[in-house]
Amino acid sequence: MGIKSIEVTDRLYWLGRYSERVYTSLRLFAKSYDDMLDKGDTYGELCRSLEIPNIYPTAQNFLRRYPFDESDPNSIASNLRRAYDNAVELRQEIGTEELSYIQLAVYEMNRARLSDAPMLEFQKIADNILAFWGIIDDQVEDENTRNIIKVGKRVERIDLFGRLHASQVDLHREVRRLQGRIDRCTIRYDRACLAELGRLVEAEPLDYSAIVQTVERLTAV
Amino acid sequence: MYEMDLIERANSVNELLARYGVKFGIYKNGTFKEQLFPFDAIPRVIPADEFDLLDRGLRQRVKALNLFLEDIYNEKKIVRDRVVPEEFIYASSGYLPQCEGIRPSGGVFSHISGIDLVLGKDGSWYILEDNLRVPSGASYPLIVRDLCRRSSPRTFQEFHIEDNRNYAQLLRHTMDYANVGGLTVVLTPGRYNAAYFEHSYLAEQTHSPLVSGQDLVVEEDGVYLLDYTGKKERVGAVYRRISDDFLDPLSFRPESLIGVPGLFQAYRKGQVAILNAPGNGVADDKGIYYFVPKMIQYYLGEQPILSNAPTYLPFFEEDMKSVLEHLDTLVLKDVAEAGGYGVVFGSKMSARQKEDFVALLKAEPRRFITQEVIDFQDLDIMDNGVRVPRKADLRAFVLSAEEPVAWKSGLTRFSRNPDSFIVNSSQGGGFKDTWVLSR
Amino acid sequence: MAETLCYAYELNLRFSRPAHDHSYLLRLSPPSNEGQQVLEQRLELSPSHQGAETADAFGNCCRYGHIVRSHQQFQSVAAGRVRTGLSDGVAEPDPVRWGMMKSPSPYTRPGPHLLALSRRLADGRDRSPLERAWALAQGVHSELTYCPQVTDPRTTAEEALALGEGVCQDYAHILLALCRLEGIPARYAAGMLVGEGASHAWVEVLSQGRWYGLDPTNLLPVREQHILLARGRDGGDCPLNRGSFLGGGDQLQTVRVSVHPVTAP
Repeated sequence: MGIKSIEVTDRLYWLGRYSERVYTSLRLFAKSYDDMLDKGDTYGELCRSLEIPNIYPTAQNFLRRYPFDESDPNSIASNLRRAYDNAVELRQEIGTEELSYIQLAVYEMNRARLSDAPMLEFQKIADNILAFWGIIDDQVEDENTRNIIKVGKRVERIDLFGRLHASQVDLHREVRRLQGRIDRCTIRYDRACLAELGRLVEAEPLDYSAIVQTVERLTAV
Repeated sequence: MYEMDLIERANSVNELLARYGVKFGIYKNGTFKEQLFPFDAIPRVIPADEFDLLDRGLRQRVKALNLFLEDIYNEKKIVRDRVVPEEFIYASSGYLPQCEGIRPSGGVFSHISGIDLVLGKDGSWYILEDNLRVPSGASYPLIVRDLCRRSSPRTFQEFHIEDNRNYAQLLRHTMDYANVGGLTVVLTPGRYNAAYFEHSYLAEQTHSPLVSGQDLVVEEDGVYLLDYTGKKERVGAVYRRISDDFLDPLSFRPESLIGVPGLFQAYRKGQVAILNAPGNGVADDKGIYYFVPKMIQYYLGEQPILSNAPTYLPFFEEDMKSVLEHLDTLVLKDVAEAGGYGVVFGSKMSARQKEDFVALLKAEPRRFITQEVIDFQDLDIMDNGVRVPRKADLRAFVLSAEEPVAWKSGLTRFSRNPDSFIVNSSQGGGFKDTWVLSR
Repeated sequence: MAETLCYAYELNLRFSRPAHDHSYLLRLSPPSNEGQQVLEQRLELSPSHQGAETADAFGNCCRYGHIVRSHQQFQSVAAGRVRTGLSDGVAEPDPVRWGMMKSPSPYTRPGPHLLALSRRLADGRDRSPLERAWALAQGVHSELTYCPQVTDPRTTAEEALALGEGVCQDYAHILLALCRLEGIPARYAAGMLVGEGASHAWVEVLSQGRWYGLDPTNLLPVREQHILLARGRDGGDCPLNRGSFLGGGDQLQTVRVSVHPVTAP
């Protein structure tokens, strides 16, 4: 299908971003969860590194709300809900089979909410997201569709890497991948911003907050 | 029972339905909820010879209904010949004067027709109503067949069942036939519509873009789909899943935000096809239903192959008399209501209610039709592991391109409540696969 | 007596913030028929836009289009000269075609007030539909007080009658409802009247094979003083202007009409 409406393009892009955000925050949460088994209240660190407001009075509260609370806009469940909300309006673009992996991730989230060992279900959420990316790569014929999702993923990853103060090697690689991908789809972006991002990941030392601000501006046109 | 294996695996079919997001949107207390559409694994089975009769009857009926629509919006021969009284046409809320003089591309008005039937205890099928506007439901038996085959391959090896998975090809052909040149798009009111799953699934299966009103723009020479970069592509057919009222704020309800301004004028000029045609509501009106057998005789010179439920029109004096005499045995339908609402059983009314109803009936005889309650055959469903009989109907789908074609399947809906006669899915209830045997 | 009228209809729509993707549909081109002949007409838009022409189901000439670029103001000016009063009524070769003019329409559906008025005005005398319609028009005229700004274009006949006040559109809707209750085919007419600063509305009834115009607001037969623009079952079928746009903020719409006889050279 050659032509893509504005709405479809936006949804593909945000599906890429939110699926990446869920996947990466699940991994970070897993680490933080494990730490807390021994050390107690270490969740403040995770909030700081993700630059989300620490609204959680206790570790117990954090462990319930950060993964599951859909009224908390920064929770993993809220981000998965947003991924689903975009995906469900893309059935005709990405396909029923492909969409089902996001749906399955939502069901696993619902199960995890009721579980006393949620890390097991979280593994299944991660599996489904990986399967989703895999099937998109493998089965979606339209290159533009694939690339818009991937651009969303890359943008989100650079954003998260910037917040988490990732290594220069990692950031450099992600920005190069984005540069190689972004012109192979119909997403609109700010060229000056992309060039700026290229310069920022070369600089020493890295200015992380400038990287985050710049990548946030990239597609806001 | 021959379908035992499939019934035992009903859970796995329901799990797959959940996996693929086969859902139904409803509003409960003002909030939107997605609900799974419960599937019952015991199929409705229609033998080959029985379907052959249905097939001929359905095609005949849809052919006549299409001729009626073309006639009403053009020559009006059936009115001139006094077969249908004109007040029934012009007082119908489905009649759109804006459609006067229009002959759609290919001469088809009702491209996708959903005809609701029940099987009487006497073994014959009765037509309950015609749905010629935006009939929904084909996607459910379409996707569930695939999942049943996966869950119980043995069943489908053993029995000779017509493959119903050609619905998307039939639909695509119907769209292409109507198309006047350009893309075919599926126009949805959006995700919060009850049938959104169907809109997106049929768009996927027919390889058509799914669009909302703001994605389309009408220019002097036609309708275009806009893309992100400002590029535009000509649209030749719109399979719209929004009602006439909301289609175009310039010609219909001005406050509509989900429509496409100017779409109707482009359609009038023949620059784009709309499936189904606007204005079809005049032919599936509950009052017009009474006249469908007469239309078949009038336009085709044939005897109707399928019967209506015995119906009386209080509008005619003679009918009014017998309605008042036999109120207890009748079901009363308000022609203005749809979706199982405005349906009352005479036997269930109190003396006071009857009195009020008779007064209303006399004041507005055009507003009601009355039907004899058909004693229809129940179908078994599995209810917590127990086989119990429930009321069920069948929505058959007829797709019209060069000629009408009846899909060899259909949506069988059942009511879960043992006391309910109403099987409409907007009032709860589930669905079954419909098997047409090939020999 | 025939007359030559000169008309100008000016629609002005101002936005507090720029509007864009503006779709419009205008019925501002008078038709030529047995009763009136258009000598000269033009329709100009600002922002300037060509648009497309089409005839709607009632035979009304429509201009429609889609203006993408943003604008603070939308203006349309229709002007021209029309020869009016050329005949007494207009012949109808095919009354069956207008069967819809006998049934209630969205704005003319009778409720208790209309049914009561219809009963009160019944006189049992056998007359032509036109004579009967005049009797009804007189009834409407004495029932209603002319009062602008009480009703709006979405007021139904029943609502206006309950209020007892209204403008020409309400007079027309009520008369339509009454005619149709008696089986007289009646249609809504929108147009302009000599000396009126806004658009006008009246009723046409089918009587003995001819459509006749009655102006219930002024109790005037429609002759050389009226210029017809559009017809429908009621005002909802043939609005003179319809628009839909994005942005725009608050809007202020004004319509200025002037019609006057052209003095003989």
